[in-house]
This record gives sequence, structure tokens and C-alpha cells, in this order.
Amino acid sequence: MAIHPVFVHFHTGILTVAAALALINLVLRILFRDNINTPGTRLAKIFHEFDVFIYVGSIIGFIGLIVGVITGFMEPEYPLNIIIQTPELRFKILWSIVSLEIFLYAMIVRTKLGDRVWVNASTYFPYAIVIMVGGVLMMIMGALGGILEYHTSILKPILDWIGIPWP
Amino acid sequence: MKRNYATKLIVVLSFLVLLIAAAGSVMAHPDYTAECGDCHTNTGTLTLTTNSTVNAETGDPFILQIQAGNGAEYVAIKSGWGDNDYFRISDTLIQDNSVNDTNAAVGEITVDVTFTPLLNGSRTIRIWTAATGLLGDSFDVAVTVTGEPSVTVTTGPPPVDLVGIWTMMLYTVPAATALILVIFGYLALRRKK
Repeated sequence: MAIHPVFVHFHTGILTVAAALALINLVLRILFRDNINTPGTRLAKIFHEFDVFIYVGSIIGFIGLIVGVITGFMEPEYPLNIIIQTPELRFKILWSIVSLEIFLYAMIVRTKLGDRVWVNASTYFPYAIVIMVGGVLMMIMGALGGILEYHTSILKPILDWIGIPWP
Repeated sequence: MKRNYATKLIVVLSFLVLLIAAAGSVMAHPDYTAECGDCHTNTGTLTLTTNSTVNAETGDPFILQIQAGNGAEYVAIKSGWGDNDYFRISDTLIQDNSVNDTNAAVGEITVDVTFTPLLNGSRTIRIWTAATGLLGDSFDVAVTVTGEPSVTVTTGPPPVDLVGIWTMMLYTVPAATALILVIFGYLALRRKK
């Protein structure tokens, strides 16, 4: 089995938390627009800190994803023609590429715009939503890795409940 | 030191401790070549039986009933041993009296494990049983894997080429995502007049 070192799994957690914070920031932006724009208020501070976490998390996550992809193919006894026979690994390869694109987008947009990314709806909706999509993909990919290695995952009841079939 | 800096320092140091602890937990034992026999050197006392030869077809799962006894605490069929990587294995580690152990006696394990061959060829499935006191024993199963049976129109539709669909998606899905993100990026970064 192609196994990443444990250190490579941190970005999965970071990006999943970034997705949760993106959802919270999106809700705060819509519901408390005035308060998050008022410097010095507690809500503005929390909003700003979450925004920074999402930005820094995207950068760390992007680097971690690249390391994860490289180490995923490093197992000499597990060549590519065997890896692609396994549906879970096919899912991980395909959606890792999509996640890389998503967090590359997030990094570029946030770097260019700074916290002005949260000013216009045409910017903050796509920004928050793609980060949420990327985080959920990372969470599912982590769960699939767990299922491959340990035949179970703490996500199993949730995805059973939603109706997503498990291998 | 300003209070503000102290908080930041605590956060950074906590993260560093976490980082070092995580890095330290990744251990490698270069002398261990992944098989139980490196540590469980007292062989010959535990018993381990199942079919010694199997004929199988790629993609068609088959079940082996594995029986271990005389004090066995674990049965393991890990990747990297023999040709185990060439099979999908339903259960790679079975503990005595765990859910899948159908033998209630202590020190005896009976388990049905499903193997799905991934590629044609002559393969060896290697199974180990182990217990405390460096006890261990292994068993090799010779499996001859041939191609999938030919599917005719009268017996049903051809199998779905999942790898082919995936290969196509490997190009189209990232391309579609890139297109969507480029549009989002353009909307976000365009200069307003």
C-alpha cells in the first residue's frame, strides 16, 4: 500500500479547518457586514484572524498537497498500473489535482486582493465556496486513505447518512 | 515583552512543539523489512492453515478461510509481503476474538478473508500469525490469476471500463475546474472602471 508519512497528513486537517472558517466568514460577512468592517470590534478581529488562517492555511495546504502527491507515488512495490485499479486511489488522484487548482486559485486571488477579497460579492462568494469545496474534498480523501488502510473512518456514519456509497 | 507578542510567541512555540512531535513520531527501522519474521523469531509452535493453491480470475473475488491456533493472537495479511499488493484484501489484520474472528476460543482464530486479484500472473499471498513471546509463523498461498472470462453479448453487457472513464475524467474534470476558476479569477481581479 502506498502510505504517506504521517507528517504529510497535516495539510488535510489545515485545509478542512480552512473550509469551516470560510463558511463562518461567509456567514459573518452576510449577516454582520457593518460589525466586521468596524476596526477594533471583537467580531472584526475574529473575522480578520479567520481570514488570515484561510490564507496561510491555503499556502501550507498547497505545499502539503504537492508533497502528498509526490510521496503517494513513491512506493516502489505499488506501481501506477496497480494504483489505478483501486477506486479509492483513482478518486484521490483525480480530486487531488482539482484541490491543487482550487488552492492555487485561492492563493493567487487572496495575494492579489488582500482582505479586499471580502468586499464584493462577486469575489467573496467564489473565494469562500471553492475553499469549502476544496476542504470537503480533502476531508473525503483523508477518509478514503483511512478506509484503505484501516477499513473504517469516523466519516463513515456521516456519509452513510448523506447517502454516499462507500467501497 | 508586550502582551501581544507573548500571545503570538506562545502560539508559534505550540505549533513548533506540535511540528517536532509529529516529525519525531515518524520512525524508521531500516533493519525491519516489514515481515513479522524480523521480530517474531520463535516459529513452529503456532498453527496456520488455509488453501495452499488457488486458481482465480482478475477482478473476481475469492474467499480463503484462514485458521490459526495454538495461542495465535493475530492473523495479518499486510501489503509488501509476498505478492499481497496484487490483491485487494478485505481484512489485513485480525485479532483473536475480534469481530471477524468466528472462533470464540482464546488463542484460536478462524476468519474468512476476501481477496480480489488485480493483475494476471502467478502470485503468492503471504499470511502471518503472531503472538507474544516472539512467537510467529507464516503461510504462503500460491495463486494462479488468469484473465477475465470472455463476455459474449448473450451472457450480458460488457463490463464498464472504469479505468477508461477515470482516465478521460483525469483530463476533463481538471480542465473544467480550471475554466471555472479562471472565470472566477477574472471576475475578482479585473480592473473596475
